[in-house]
Amino acid sequence: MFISMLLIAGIENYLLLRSMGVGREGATFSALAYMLCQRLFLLINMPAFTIEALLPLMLYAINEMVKRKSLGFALFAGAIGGRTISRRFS
Amino acid sequence: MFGLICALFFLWLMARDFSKSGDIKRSLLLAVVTGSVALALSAFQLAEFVTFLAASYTVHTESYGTVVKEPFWLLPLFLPNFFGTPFVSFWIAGISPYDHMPSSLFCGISTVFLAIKVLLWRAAPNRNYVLLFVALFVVFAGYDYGFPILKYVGHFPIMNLMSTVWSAFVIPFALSVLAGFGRCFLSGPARIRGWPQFGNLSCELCVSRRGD
Repeated sequence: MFISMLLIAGIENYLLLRSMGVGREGATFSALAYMLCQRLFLLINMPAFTIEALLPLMLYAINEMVKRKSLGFALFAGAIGGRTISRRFS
Repeated sequence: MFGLICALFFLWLMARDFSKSGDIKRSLLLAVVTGSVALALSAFQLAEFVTFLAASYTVHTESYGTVVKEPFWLLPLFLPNFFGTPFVSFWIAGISPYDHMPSSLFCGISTVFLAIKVLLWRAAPNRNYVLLFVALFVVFAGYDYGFPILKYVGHFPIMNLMSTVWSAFVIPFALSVLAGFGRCFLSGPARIRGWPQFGNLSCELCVSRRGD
């Protein structure tokens, strides 16, 4: 479960970088650097881990929402935000 | 902290969008939708939190966020476990090995080099994003590690309710994003294509993680 969350954090960072106009190599490097960083391993069994792992996805959703003026991405960002707030105050 | 970063990112994107198109109504409307959905989904949890907050004996006191580290604690950014092994022992006095701060920084040395490279690279793609993440890095590294002036960020309302441990993750995150932009510099006209490209990337990461 935690390992898959790490992988998801990497994929999210890849999506964020691609959405900001970075090439595939740069996005892959960034994704691997973030998912393998010491911080995420350190917090892997803490509630804050989910929040930190979901940040790139939230930024990706916000970026796409503003770029495409998309209601779908607004709802998606809201869902991630809701999940994060629930986790933070659980 | 999550909300603060998202809000800053959104405001920055909106300002950029406004300078291009001159219209922010739709973006604002979408932001309201996002906020409403987030609140609706977490309302139950938030209500419970507020109800039991007064009875909590671990509630953070005001000025909690004003306690910051000295700048030399940033050294593990360049060398993992510089001060010792986390959860085992640190050779430096005055800090417990259970403190997360020194171990929260390292995300690869080539990540640091590429992030520095992108700072010097004027023709970086989408340089506006680069500047935003540089600003995030400087503000959070400066606040968490007691740089002049920036160490007082923890005196602001809301910021003073939270330990710097929970904002330290912005440092490796901003660095990894900057390194992604910096990696584009290596993918110039003489770039390696196809499968060797992935070999190249793996080598970089091996070098990056060598000391971990």
